[in-house]
Amino acid sequence: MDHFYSGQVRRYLTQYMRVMSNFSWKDSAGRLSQVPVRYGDPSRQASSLLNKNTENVMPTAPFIACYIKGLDYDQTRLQDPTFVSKVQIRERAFDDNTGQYLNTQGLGYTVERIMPSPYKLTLVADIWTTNTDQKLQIFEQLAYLFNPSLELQTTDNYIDWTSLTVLQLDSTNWTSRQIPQGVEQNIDILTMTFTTPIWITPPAKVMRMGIITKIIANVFSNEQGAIITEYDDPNAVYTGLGDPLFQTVVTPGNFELMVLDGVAGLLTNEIDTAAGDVTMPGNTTSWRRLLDLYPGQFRAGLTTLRLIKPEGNEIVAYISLDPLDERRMLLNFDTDTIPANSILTSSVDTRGTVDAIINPETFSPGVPATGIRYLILENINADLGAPGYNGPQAWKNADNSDFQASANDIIQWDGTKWTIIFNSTRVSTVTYITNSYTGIQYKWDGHQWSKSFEGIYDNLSWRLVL
Amino acid sequence: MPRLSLYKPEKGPDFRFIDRIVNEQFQVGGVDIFIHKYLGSVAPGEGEATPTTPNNSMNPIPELGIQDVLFMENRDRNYEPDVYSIRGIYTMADLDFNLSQFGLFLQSDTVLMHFHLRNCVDTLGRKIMPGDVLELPHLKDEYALDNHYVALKRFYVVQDVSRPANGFSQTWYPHLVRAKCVPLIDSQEFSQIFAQDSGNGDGSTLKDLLSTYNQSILINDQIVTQASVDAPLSGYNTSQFFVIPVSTGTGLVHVTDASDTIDDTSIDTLDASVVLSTPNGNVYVGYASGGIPNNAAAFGSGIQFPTDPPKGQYFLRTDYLPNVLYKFDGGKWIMTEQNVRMTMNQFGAQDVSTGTFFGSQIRQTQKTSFINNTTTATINGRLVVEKQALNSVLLPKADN
Repeated sequence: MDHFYSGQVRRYLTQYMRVMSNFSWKDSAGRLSQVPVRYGDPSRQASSLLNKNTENVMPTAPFIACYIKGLDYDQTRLQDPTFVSKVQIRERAFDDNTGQYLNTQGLGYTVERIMPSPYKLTLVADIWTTNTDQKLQIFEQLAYLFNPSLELQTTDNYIDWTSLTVLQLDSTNWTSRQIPQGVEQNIDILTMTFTTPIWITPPAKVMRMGIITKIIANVFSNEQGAIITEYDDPNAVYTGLGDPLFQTVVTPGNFELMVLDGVAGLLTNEIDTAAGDVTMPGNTTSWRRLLDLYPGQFRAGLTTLRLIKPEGNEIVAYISLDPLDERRMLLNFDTDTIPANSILTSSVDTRGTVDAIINPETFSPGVPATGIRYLILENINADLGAPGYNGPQAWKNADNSDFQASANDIIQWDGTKWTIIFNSTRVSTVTYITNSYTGIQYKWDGHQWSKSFEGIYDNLSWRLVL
Repeated sequence: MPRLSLYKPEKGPDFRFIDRIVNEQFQVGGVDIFIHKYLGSVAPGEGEATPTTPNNSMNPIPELGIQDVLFMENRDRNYEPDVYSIRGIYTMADLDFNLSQFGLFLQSDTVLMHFHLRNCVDTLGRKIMPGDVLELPHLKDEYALDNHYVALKRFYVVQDVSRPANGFSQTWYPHLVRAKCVPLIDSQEFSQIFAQDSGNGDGSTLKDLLSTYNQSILINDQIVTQASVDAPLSGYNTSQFFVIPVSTGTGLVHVTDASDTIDDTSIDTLDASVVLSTPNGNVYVGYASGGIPNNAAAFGSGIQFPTDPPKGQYFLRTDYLPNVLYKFDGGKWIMTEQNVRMTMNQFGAQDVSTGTFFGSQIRQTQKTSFINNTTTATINGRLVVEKQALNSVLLPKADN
């Protein structure tokens, strides 16, 4: 077992002695004197030091000595010993340079506390006085407070659920002497016995805050059957469920996300994103309304936004707030998480990029360099083959013949003629290419080109990792 | 011829002869004992005498007065400022320390001190009596573990006085008196002796040098300080925690525009920056709130609400006890919490007026506010002290 000690009983005793402290007595001249309080079971050596190592130094009276009389397990307060309480705590940010707390959110924690063990602590206060009047003065001040008990708090830590207890006066032994005193004049001791229910607790677990920020509820239907015949199969219930009939996703604010031009914006779920103008301020909201709800602390450039693609992989972007507009989250993509370009092989070269995206009806390649690639947005020579057709000069081969391609094709100049290296009418698989001119990656989904990861993500398809 | 008898009805020459010899034995073989003579109890102040605590100052023999006839004790004692010196004889014994819960005591350090009776009466004017304090100069300790220039004296107090059997001579008359003495304790009864100058030259008293009181108070203060470090105030300190201001309904963080500027839609740039609103309440709720806004939000304080406050402004009303923290919701002030966190030190005014805890907070809970109460009330021009013993409140005044 690893060592652990946090001075729990010591703290109870310290607080107990604090309760007994600062009482006073008054002599006939009206002079007030404080009654000293000390631990009642001192070591001989420490006591000798108090006496300055001489028998001529004398003890003082009145005096209150406090000590522990008993510590017993309290069966009556037994609760589920395996119970673990979790509390979620968000700290204010702390500036290490100035040594001061800030009024922004800092780290988030989940603290787990296991059920502590109940004990009953019996404490004693021996009050030594040299005359009865003195004794009554001290007793009157003390006795009133315990009606029936006095709060005892060992720490002001909000998380310490063992910190608060009560000190209850159980019994009082008025004097230690016989009455009358007889031959010997012993010191008179008034003994007050207290009990306090305490807890002895092991250390807590302080962990990174773990709170749920996304709930996905799926509704399935399945044919009626007899699971009992397949009870050996732990997945019997789930087998053959197929796609859910209905899915509900709940996130903070249920925001959709617009990713565009390296900027992410939150879309309020009230707008129809297909028709709504996401650039209008009313349709987006400040990231400040969301960031503090997530566990952890937003750190510009380190906090990540994760875009979840349909195929399951995540695109990771490091984010920072636009200082001029807190509705805009600037994205710095981790290029390793962006999908790899699909390699297009031609007779000239092998690569996954195009040099530009062009409209062939308005763009003239001039004298093209060998190997140059274009993704075209319109058809080229769609009417080729019609009687008397002569195509545009810009798209003729070196032998002056016409070249035909469809919109969304990728074409390449091999030095003498244009060739189609990506035929959109025939490719139905997902293909990624990057426009070298802008650096933007595009995705072919079998029907159209779109930016590979830009667009609108529903609340299921993105998450924040602070 | 008269009958031979050493006993005489009166103390004759035989007695006086033996008495002188005995006295000579004390002068030759005895040791100096300094006597702090008990002079009777301290008289109560003007008008403070009661039937059970009478004024004994008019007693022709003041030593016979009893300060408290109910408890039969003399708590506050007068001692002769001058010290008398007489010779005494006692048996030395080896002593062990007994460690009790109150500190080290000398085990069985009861001294049976013998004095010459006549010498004692001639010196003191009376026989030595219980309450007299003996100082034994030959037991001074020059090597105590301290940095004082003076040796520490040894004091005893007389508990019982009797005539010892071995003090009777052949004349059947006593020559000796025996005082049963126990070590002195620094207590109320001997405060006059301990208030005397120690002779150390620094203004210190005998109490400062010989008593464990100062050191015990210092230790006590350290324990109270430690307790204050562990738990400074009742309730919980949640000021280091962050409370998210949440919008009602949406559950989102509640924010406020950073500026009140109304943006013109014709302007390209738009000030969309926001600041967090102040939270509506504390989620870290303990059993005692502190009256301080969450997230270190700024707040004013005073006895009157400020005019034209911004929405979300906090204000602590200090004219209410306990102080109450309010928040302005845009239309009215809403009570947020009360400042009921309180020191758990049992401090009253006398504890914080000087010393280690000078200026510390006085405990003012519901119970202790009846004790730690220095308030006065002026009723129809008459000053009335609020704190009065219940049995003496509003008693009829003498109207004769």
